Amino acid sequence: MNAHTQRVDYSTLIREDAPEGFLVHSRLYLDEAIFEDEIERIYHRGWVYVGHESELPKVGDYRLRLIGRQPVIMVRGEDQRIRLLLNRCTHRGNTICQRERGNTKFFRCAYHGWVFDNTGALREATHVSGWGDRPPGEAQHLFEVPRMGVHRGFIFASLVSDGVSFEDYLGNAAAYLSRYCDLAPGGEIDLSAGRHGITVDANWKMQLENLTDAYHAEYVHASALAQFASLSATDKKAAFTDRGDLENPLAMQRDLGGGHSVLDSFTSNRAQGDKLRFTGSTGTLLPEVIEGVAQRIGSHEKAQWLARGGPCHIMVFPNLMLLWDAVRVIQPVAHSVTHIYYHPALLKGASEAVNIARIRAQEGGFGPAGFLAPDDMEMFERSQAGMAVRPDTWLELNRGRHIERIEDDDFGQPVRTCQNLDEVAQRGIWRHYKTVMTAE
Amino acid sequence: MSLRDEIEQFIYREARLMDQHRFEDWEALWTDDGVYWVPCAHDGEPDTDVAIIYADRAAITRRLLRMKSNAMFIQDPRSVVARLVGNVEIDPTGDDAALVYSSFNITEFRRRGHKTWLRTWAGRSEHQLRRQDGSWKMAFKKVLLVNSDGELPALGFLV
Ligand code: FES
Ligand SMILES: [Fe+2]
Repeated sequence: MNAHTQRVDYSTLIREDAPEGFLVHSRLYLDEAIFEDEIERIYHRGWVYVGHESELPKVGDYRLRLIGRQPVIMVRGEDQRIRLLLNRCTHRGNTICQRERGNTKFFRCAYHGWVFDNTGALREATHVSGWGDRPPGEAQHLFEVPRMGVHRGFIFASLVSDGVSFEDYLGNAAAYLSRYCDLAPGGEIDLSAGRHGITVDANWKMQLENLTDAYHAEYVHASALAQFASLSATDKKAAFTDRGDLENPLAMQRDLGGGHSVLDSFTSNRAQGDKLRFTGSTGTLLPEVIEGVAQRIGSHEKAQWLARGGPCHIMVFPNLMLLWDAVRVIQPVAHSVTHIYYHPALLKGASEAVNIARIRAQEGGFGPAGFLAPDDMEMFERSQAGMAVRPDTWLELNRGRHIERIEDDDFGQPVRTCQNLDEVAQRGIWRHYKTVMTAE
Repeated sequence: MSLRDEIEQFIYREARLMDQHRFEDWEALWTDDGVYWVPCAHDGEPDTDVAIIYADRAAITRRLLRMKSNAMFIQDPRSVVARLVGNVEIDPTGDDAALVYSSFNITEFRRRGHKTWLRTWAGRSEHQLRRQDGSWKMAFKKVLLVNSDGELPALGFLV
């Protein structure tokens, strides 16, 4: 950390009990030094989502990913194990993998020809006689990321070997990730259908705040509602409400702690019986999914309860988000540039029809030409520009503060809770952020 | 008019309608069973790989309804776009059908408040055209953006 970033006093930039309420300073989105500090503290020292096991079905499959600024090769080795290897030759530092995805037995460094296998072991250092009695060997295997944690196929990593354990990091969010997978007849999701990539000229934290912000939906996504022009006003509203997106006494917004948050629409979804749409735009495929889940768990009643509750919006700090049909991953690039990736989340064991419907649903909403995400991006970019108009001012996050309470969620976990349209999730992000950014 | 003249005219006219955001006129160029596809991975398949756009005829209509609404914020104000379409290759696939390959280069001008910027989009298109009642229609259109596999800005106009 350089001297400049040491001067930032985060406790004065996030004020939980100002006379005006819960305030966050604009500078937190605008300052390059703060961004560097975040990369170091949040992305290089904390736990970060990296990828999913289903992206690497075969030995030798790999994906290039970033943990903060560190390029890693997520690869399934000869021994079936998935490893996260730094994309850096141990000889003189050349990057050894240039493709974003592929399958390989070996990574060959183009500079002097060293060859590493897909477990990261150095297999051949060229012209070995030149090193006298100290030829390259085990010490020159590729660097492996020191800690990796896997929960239901979701792969997370930490670039440091000490600190919070993986279980403590996931905390209350673990149950939600599990529930998401439990909805698949095969009990797992599958991210093998590729991804969309988007670039946004805005700070990465805006996407975190937005994921569980139901408040914006009816405004920002008004044009998406226009596609339902033929529907009555009530049906239009239903099109959103069944995604837990509008004012709904049964839908909750929850701060899970650790920066994680959810829009908990389980109860409001269940109120709809079999009309839920996470299996596609009509909901007609739901009974089929319920049947598949019932076969796996051996109880039709339980399967019905699970599937009718559906998925909900889940944000796992700092970069993973699960939506109805999609897994969204963010990659901070600079204080005002963020990359966002959307993978359709296929349901293992479901019919082709269900999974095609999920791919189509994701395309309808997300990606650079979807009906929803581009307008969110536009809002992020407008906010980034607007905050710079008076960079010395405060943003307020006060919605629902008067009703904020601790309440048991669907898993019996006591968590801070408000109504769907409130801002307890956003306050939760910032409370956690402050803890991380002011630590030691 | 020769077949080449007819089809080139069709492709250029489609380009102009897209440039001018004439959504209804553009929609009228489709057959009733039209499919519009903008893949992410150039070697992807619709049923197994997510696309930037994969729209059957009903989804094309829904897409245009959104684009015509006045609340599509990525197009407020609308982009000014101008495209050059060229390299037109025509493979007749029957008496009244043709597969047409072409390339495009689009310059997009956008404004947000005081900020303005220019962007370039480029790629190749494949049209499957069918002659119906004497006029050519699009039964299938596939657009391969050069950067479809990368991180893209919002795409708010027709390609
Ligand atoms: S830098 Fe890789 S072999 Fe020399
Ligand atoms: Fe949104």
